[in-house]
Amino acid sequence: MKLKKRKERRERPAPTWVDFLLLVLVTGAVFFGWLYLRSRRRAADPNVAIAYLLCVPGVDTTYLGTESEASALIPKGGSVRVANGTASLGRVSEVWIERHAEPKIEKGEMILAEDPQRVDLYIEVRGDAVAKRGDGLRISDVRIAAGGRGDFRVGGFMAEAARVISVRKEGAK
Amino acid sequence: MSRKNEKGLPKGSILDLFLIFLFVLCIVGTLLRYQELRRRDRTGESEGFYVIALTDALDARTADCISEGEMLYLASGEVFGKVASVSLRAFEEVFFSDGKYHRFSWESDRRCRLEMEIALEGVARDGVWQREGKYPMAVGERVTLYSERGVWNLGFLRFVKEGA
Repeated sequence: MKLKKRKERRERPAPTWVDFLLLVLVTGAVFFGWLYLRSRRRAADPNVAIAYLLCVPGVDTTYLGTESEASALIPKGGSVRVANGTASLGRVSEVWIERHAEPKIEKGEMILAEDPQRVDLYIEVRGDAVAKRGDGLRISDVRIAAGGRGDFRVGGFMAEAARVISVRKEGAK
Repeated sequence: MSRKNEKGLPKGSILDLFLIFLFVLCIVGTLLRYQELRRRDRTGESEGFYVIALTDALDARTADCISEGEMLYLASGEVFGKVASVSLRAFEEVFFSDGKYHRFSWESDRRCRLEMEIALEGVARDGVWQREGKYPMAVGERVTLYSERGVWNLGFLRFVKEGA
């Protein structure tokens, strides 16, 4: 049996230069494919720390009317997530409320009147983002941009139609 | 049959040569085609121009997230233009009463309107400015642009040729 296998091996044709060329091409393709996947994986790593300010305007005071109520519902260090709770978008660093004011016509004049039943809730969030040219700043693949709006789950509070007021970069990672 | 010639080197047939030639031809053809497509994209001579654009009511803190020199992109990631200047206008509430319009603004109001001058390359054809010679733009048109830290809903106010 062994002698038969050795004989078969001797009679097998030797590889030609085309075989070697194809081998080089396939090895090259696998190598460059690996390099490409590695660069894509690296590109998805967070590379900058950011802080952004969320505002939820006109929150009914039934939910929270004072700073202490807001802090109890949205504790510092709490996680900020997308509405369905899957992706994390950072952690709460500051929470405060301001009186909600809207323009109102009164006696033929327009005034900026405070509404005692509503407050504006501000939440500062810190997180690690991926900064890519032409793609802005993303945390968990969600773009964080001033002027944007979205629904966020913040601690025990659902911040619907929250506005991203400002975004700043805090340092490269 | 031996796959080696008299000198002991592995031998290939004319068919192998033909296959290699086809392969190289494919690569060269792809490169040439790519160059041709890039050349066609540049239709005609382009010149610099500016579009003056305005946002709706914006928080003044949001306006701080854009500055001169930043690039603006479309949602696809394609470059739209470069911010040449940024200025803030006070936001005014308007209401109509007693047969006339009344305008009001308040110091405590954080809202403002942002006016941006964006530098672009394009061509003017029949009075219509075309960005990169392909995409027509018009006064009143609204567009959403992205910078590194912000998203901007802008309305085009006017177009100005560079140097005018």
